[in-house]
Amino acid sequence: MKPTSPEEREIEQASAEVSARYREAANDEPPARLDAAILQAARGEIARGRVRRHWRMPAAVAAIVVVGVSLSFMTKDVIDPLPPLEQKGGADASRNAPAPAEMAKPASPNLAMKSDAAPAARQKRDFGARPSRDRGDRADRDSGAREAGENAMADAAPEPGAPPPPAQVAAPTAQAPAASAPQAAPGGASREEEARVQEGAASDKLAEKKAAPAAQARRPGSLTKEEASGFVGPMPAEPWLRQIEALVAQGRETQAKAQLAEFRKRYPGYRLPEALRALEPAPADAPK
Amino acid sequence: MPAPATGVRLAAEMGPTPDETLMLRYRDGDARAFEELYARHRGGLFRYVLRQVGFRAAADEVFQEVWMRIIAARARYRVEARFATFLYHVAHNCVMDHFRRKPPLQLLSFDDGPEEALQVPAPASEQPEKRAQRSQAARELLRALALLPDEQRDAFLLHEEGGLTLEEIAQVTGVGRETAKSRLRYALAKLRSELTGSGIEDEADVA
Repeated sequence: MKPTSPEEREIEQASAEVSARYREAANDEPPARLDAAILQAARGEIARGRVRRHWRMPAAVAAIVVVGVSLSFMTKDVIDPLPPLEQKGGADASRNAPAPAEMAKPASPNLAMKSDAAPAARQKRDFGARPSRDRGDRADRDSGAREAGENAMADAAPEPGAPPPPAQVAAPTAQAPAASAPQAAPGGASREEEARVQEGAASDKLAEKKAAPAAQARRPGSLTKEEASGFVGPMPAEPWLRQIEALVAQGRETQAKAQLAEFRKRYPGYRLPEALRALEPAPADAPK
Repeated sequence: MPAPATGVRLAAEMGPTPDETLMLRYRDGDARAFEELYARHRGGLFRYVLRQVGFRAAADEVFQEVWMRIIAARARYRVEARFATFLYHVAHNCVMDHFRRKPPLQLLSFDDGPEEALQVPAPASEQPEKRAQRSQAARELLRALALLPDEQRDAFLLHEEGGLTLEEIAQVTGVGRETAKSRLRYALAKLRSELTGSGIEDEADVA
């Protein structure tokens, strides 16, 4: 502080005199144990800071990994690429499993109507959003008894033009629900189907193909041609194709073509084996 | 350890001080920088605290608390003022906290009190006569210092031990520059009059 006024100059002079005497009197120092404790604390603080820094990076990496993996799983559920067809077929096959009679049988007409409409609506929603194996996955995940019953009712009933049966055997209990659903007239179901076809969504077609058989009225005990031969419901693609190939090998080309046409209706985008492509009716329908 | 120069002269002549750099290096993990910083300020800060609180045991406690606060502030330290200003600001607050917990003794008697309260150590190698003379002079000055009003003593010690300028004293004590200057001026005047043997005036009007 440079003295800029007589007052400050006076302070400076007084300070010089007093300071010299004060220095002679006051030469106290902190004890060594305090010095050691404080310096130790200062070093300890640095060490703690390093430990904190060392924790930060692994913790941050671990957090990023956990969040990333979680997000990838969540994204996989939402945006699922087109699935391998084996899985799709597998999902369908799992839905073909015969349902217990008590689950498949509607408790009331309302329930029966609901069971007819709900799967179609749900499938429409599912197919519209995710035309993939998610259909099967979602059906598996929706494990409530009511939905299970609805799915069983929708899936266990055979399609009108279902291909001839593989070696699968339809349990009688699986046919009971379809037979016990006479409320929905075939005409109504077909009109509904037409309306949805006009929407132009291929996925909707698939949904309605699954819903229509369930709504189709049949006399109890009556069997379709396919049921009579042991086939009910959609069939997984790979076994189906093997069966068609077997028909070709046996020289039953007409039946094989009919089966292939049905197959193509159910699995429009499926890539056929080389041996079966020749049976395709038109190039427009050739597998992609 | 060299004794710090007079505060006003130090502030005027030092210019940029590396104390802040040392503290920044300590913030970044350099323990030796803190050791150097501590070595520079330990004596002055200890004497500042000791003259304020009056007893060594209490001074030890407050002194350690000051440095612990400095250490704890390491990670968020920014150069916003001289390090000495920062350090003595913390010390001033710690002393105030100490007085809130334990009110200061008024008119501490150096003649009747324990020898420890004088805080005038002398080298063992000194002759007994010199030691006695030194001790007597120290008693007189320190007694005069202890009898100063708290604000004047605070201003004197900040100036003398911390090397703070009038502006910095004002900043640390939370008053205007003129008030700080007045307090320092009165403190110096009383101490000088004590030194010249004219006695200590009544300081009730000077706070």
